Amino acid sequence: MEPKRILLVEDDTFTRELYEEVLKDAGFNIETAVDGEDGLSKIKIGGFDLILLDVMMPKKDGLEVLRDLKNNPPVSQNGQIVLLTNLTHDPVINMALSMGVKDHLIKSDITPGELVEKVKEYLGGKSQDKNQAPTHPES
Amino acid sequence: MPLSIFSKSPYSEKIFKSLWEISKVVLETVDFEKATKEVVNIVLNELGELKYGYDAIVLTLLDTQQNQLKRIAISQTEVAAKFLNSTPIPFQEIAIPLSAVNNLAVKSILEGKVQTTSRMSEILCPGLPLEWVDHLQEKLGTKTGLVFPLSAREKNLGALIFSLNKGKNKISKEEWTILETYVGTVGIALDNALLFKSLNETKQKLEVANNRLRELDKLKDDFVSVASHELRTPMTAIKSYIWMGLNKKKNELSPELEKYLVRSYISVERLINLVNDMLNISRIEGGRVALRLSEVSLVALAKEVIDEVMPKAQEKTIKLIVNENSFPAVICDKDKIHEVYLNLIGNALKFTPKNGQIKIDFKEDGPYLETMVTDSGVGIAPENLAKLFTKFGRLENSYTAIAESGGTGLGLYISKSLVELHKGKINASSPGVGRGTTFTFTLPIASSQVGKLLEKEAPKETSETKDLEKTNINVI
Repeated sequence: MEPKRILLVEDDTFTRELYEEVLKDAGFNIETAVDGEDGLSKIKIGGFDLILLDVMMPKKDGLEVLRDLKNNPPVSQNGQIVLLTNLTHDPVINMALSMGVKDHLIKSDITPGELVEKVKEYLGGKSQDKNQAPTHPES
Repeated sequence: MPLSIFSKSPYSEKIFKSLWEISKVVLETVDFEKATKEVVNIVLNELGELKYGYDAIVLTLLDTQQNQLKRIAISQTEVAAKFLNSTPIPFQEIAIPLSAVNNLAVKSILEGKVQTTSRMSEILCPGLPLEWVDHLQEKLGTKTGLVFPLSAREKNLGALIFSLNKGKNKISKEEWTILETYVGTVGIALDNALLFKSLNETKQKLEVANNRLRELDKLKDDFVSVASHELRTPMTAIKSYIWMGLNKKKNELSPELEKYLVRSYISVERLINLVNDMLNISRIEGGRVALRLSEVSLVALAKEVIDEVMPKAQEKTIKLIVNENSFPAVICDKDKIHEVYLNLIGNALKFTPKNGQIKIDFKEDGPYLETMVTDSGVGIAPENLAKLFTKFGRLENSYTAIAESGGTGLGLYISKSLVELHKGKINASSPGVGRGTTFTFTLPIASSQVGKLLEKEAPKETSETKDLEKTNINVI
C-alpha cells in the first residue's frame, strides 16, 4: 500500500526536522516547506493526503496561505489541512477553521508520539475514508 | 434653620417660598458656573420681591492659591449693570488680597461675622481705585454695604456682598435673620458646586489615568503573548527532542542517562506550564478573560475530567469516585470550570499516596451548587490553609512533591480567580496533616437569582478578550 503523502510547512528548523523524522519513522512520505511562500507553491502542485500548516511563519503566515488557497484552489486536490500552532488564540484558530482547516494542534502540548497518533487519526488508518472527523486534541 | 423661623414667628409664606427657591438651586445645580450665577440672582430676586431695598449682590470666592478674594458673580440688576459698565477693571479680574486686613470682605472672613458700612470703598478697595468707588457710590445712591462670610462644613468659602439703598438702621431683626438664612444656603450651594467641580476634575484625571493603564495593560498582554509564543518554540523543541531520546533511543540509554533525561523532560514541562499559567494570570488580572456561559451538569463535567486523568490515577492505583446522583445544573463557562476541576483533581492525585482515594461530591446550598473534592492524601496543617490560594503560596513540606511533579504554584490562584469570576467561592479544609484534604467551590445554580445576575454581569467576549491556555497535569 502506497504510503500517505504529508506536507509539513514549518519555519523553525528544529521543529520541522523533528516532526519530519518522527513521521518518516512512522512510515509516512514526508515533504517539507520552510515558509509560507514555499509551502504555498508546494500545496498548489497538490497531491498530498494531509497538510500540516504552521501559523507564524515569515514571508507568508498560515492564514495568508489559507486565504490564497481559497482564492486560487490548487489544480490537483489535497487532503485535510491541520493547523500547527503555539498560540491558543481563538480568533486565529476560528478564522482558519472557517477557511477550511479541519483541526489544530498546539505544538507545545503534544509529544512527538501524540503527533503521530493524531496524524494517523486524520489519515483514517488503513481505510480510504478521508472524511473521518478529527477529534479535538486533549490537553 | 428654616424650621426655627417657622415655629417662632409670623414669617410669611413669601419668605418660605423664597427660601425654597434658593434651596432648589442648592439641590439641583451642580454646575459651578450656573450655581453661582443663579444663586446670586435668586437671592436678589427674592430680596427684591420683599422690597427691602437691595441693589446688588456680589459673590466672591476665596482663591487660596493666590491668597485673594475674587469676584465670581454679580446679580443682574440695574445698579449692577451700571457698575459693570463703568468699572475700570474687568469684573472677573477684581481681586482683594487677603493681606488687606482692613478690607471688610477680608475682615468678615477672618472674624467670621458680618460687617456693615456706609462706605462701599471699605468693601471694594484695594480691588478698585478709591476715588472711583466713592464717586460711583455717590452716583448710585448706595447707602449701606453688608458683607457676610460664606462658609460650609466649617470651611471658609468666600464672602457675599450686599449693597442697599437704605440706611443700616432700617434693617429689621427679621431681615437680618432672613439674610443670614439666605447666606447659609448660598454657602451650601457653593460648597456643593465646588465639590462637584473638583469631583469632575478628579473623574477626568482618573479616566485619563485609567485609559493609560488599560493601554499599558494591553501592551503588556500583547508583549506577554508574543513572549510566550517565542518562549514556546525552543521549549517545544527541548521537550520533543528529550521525548525522542527517551522513546526512540530507549534501548541505548543507561539508567543514569535515562534519569537525567526524565528530569530534564519534567523540568521543561514545568516551564511550559509556568508560561501558560503566567499568561493566564496576566489575562485574568487584566480583565481580558470572558465567560462563555451555558447550563452545565457538574456531575457530567466531573466524569469527563476523571476520564482524562484516569491513566494517571491508575499509575498510582488511586480510586476516583463521583457522586452520580441528580443535581441541578449550574451556569458557568464549561472550559474554565474544566480547568478548575483539572487543577483540584490533579492536586489531589499529586498529594495522595498509592492506593488512596479521591471523591467528588455535591451539595445544594441556597442558590449555589457546592462541589467537594476530597482526597485521602497528605492533608494540610491549619496554619497553611490561608496561603494556598496565593501566587506561589506553596506549603513547605510540599516542595518535594511539587518539584518532582512539575506543578507551577499558580494553579490554585487561577482556580480561585476563575471561580470568583463566576460569583462563586472556593476554600480548603483539612482535619490535619496526614488526614486528607477537601477543596470546595461553589457555582450559581442555573435558575437562581445569582445565576441570572451572573448571566447579566459576566464579562462578555470582545475583540480584546482571550482564551485561557491549557495546562497539563503531571503526577508522579
